[in-house]
Amino acid sequence: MHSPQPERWQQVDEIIQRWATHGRSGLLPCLLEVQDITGYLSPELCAHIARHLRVPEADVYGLISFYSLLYDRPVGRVVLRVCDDVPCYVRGSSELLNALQEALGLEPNKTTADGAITLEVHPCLGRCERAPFVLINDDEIGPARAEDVLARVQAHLQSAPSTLSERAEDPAATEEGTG
Amino acid sequence: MIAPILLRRVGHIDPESLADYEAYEGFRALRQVLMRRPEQVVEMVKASGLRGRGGALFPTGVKWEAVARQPRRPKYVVCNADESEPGTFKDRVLLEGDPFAVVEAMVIAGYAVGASKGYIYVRGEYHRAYTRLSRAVSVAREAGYLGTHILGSDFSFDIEIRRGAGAYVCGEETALFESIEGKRGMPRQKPPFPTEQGLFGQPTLINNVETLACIPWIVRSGPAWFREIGSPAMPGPKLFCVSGAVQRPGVYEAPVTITLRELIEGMAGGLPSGQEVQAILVGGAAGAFATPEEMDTPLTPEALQAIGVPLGSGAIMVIDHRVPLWEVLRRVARFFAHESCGKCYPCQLGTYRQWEIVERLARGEPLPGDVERLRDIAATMADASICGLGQTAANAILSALEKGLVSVPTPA
Ligand SMILES: Cc1cc2nc3c(=O)[nH]c(=O)nc-3n(C[C@H](O)[C@H](O)[C@H](O)COP(=O)(O)O)c2cc1C
Ligand code: SF4
Ligand code: FES
Repeated sequence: MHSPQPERWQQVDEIIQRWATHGRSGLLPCLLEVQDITGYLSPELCAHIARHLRVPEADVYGLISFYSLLYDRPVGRVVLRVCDDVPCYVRGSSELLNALQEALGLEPNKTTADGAITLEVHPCLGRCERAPFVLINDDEIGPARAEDVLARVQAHLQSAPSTLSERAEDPAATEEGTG
Repeated sequence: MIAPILLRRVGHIDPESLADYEAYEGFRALRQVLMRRPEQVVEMVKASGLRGRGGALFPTGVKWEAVARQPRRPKYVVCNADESEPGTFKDRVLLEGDPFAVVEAMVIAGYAVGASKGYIYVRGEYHRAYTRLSRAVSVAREAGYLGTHILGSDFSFDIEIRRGAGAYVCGEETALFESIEGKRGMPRQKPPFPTEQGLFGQPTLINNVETLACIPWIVRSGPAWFREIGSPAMPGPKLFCVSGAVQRPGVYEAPVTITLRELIEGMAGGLPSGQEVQAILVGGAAGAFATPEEMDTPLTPEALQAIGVPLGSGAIMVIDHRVPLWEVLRRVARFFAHESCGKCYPCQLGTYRQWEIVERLARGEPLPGDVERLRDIAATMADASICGLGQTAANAILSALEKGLVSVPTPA
């Protein structure tokens, strides 16, 4: 168990406070921004956000299940989004995907056992001029070759700070910080 | 070939520099507009013949006028930057390369229709576009192009940027409003139309990024100049996203009078030697296939209609002869099954049934009657779906069958 990181909780609380005045209309941006810091939206975070934005908790889960960029369970510190839509397929995305699956020992939409890497197969990512295209978190690679993608994944793993979500902290403990 | 207009600044200026933008005509249109009456601005957009670049080709001036006439306030201007149609990336290129243009166009739109607030809804996976836009908005605000009393006038307008969260259907205008309101992005029944009851139930103008990017140029050079470009039914420059088996995939600007062949073989450099065109998917997953024989068709709405192809978002996906076309159709079918929001049954069930059947056909193991069933489902989805997603979900697959681009395996 790591030690808690108070500055991250403070960041989360700042985000929630900023969107709290928007009520329901602030819900989606609030969830996205919090997740940028925490990696995923734990039940505690969902309850916390619902309370401060004054929306039913069920509605928070409703959004998470609807929007594919929101996660209610831990994902890898590095999320690899491999485009396999038509223009990328025409330029070799299937071979790329196979090579990455093999090298990482991962099926699509699965995370490595150590929680480091998640592999997602994605519809068009809007960078078809760089097909086959891959997003590594928000880092863009294209035209992508498997070796380059794997090297970049390693670089990310070494530099990416572990997220708050790995630290099983209870957000309620920081209640006093949210006013 | 004409000099680019919409892409004029892209790649030539520092997209983060307001000074660069101003040096290349930037914010001059806004200054001009603030000296006219709002009705004159609406009139100018109407006279230009501009039609929406988001896919539906709706006359932009007509929409602006409808919102301008609404007495209820507040009104909103929304920029649809959700760009998620497969094969489409033109809006991203504009947002990343010329973000101030969208800001300027939205202020002009706000002035013309009497809105006080604008939203830009940017696709969640467009990180760089989001960062650039955020910066452009705050820089423009500091410089007095946004906020209260813009450039010393009586007009006040501000912009908020929202990120999408990975749902194709949120590009549909009413689903986009639901999303900004903090709900699941499910399309609403129309009418009422957004011009009357849009975002937060208020009169709302919603336009695509590329549509808005045309506006400052129409103001600067006039509707008559704009109409000289393109075709009578589709004036102005158009962005095409050429992808797949070409030497130089990318966004190209051309009048719609250009043919598929000129675009693919000329601008995009043709196919690598030894490869031939098998089929071209035009307009995105919601589009339809053109055959190699149809490559001399101009990209005007009328000419495309004659070959059963929509211009849609301007996506031109070139598929060469080595690619198994059933694999392409599988991806299209899977896309719609995954992206259907589930609000109405014809689409929720239909897109899944369609996917199952296409999978069987792709594997070469169809059940008796599968093709007939596919046509039935297509007709039901087209007639009974609430929104454009369900209404167009079968088009590409049907067009491949009808044009004989794929052979149908016989049941065992
Ligand atoms: C399923 C679906 C997805 C859509 N996605 C987009 C999109 O990503 N961007 C866009 O501008 N319009 C999209 N549209 C069209 C919008 O509903 C709307 O017509 C458009 O934003 C209007 O702007 P325009 O008149 O400037 O084209 C989509 C429509 C449907 C049915
Ligand atoms: S047509 Fe499909 S996407 Fe559109 S509202 Fe119905 S179920 Fe949702
Ligand atoms: S198809 Fe891969 S980015 Fe568009």
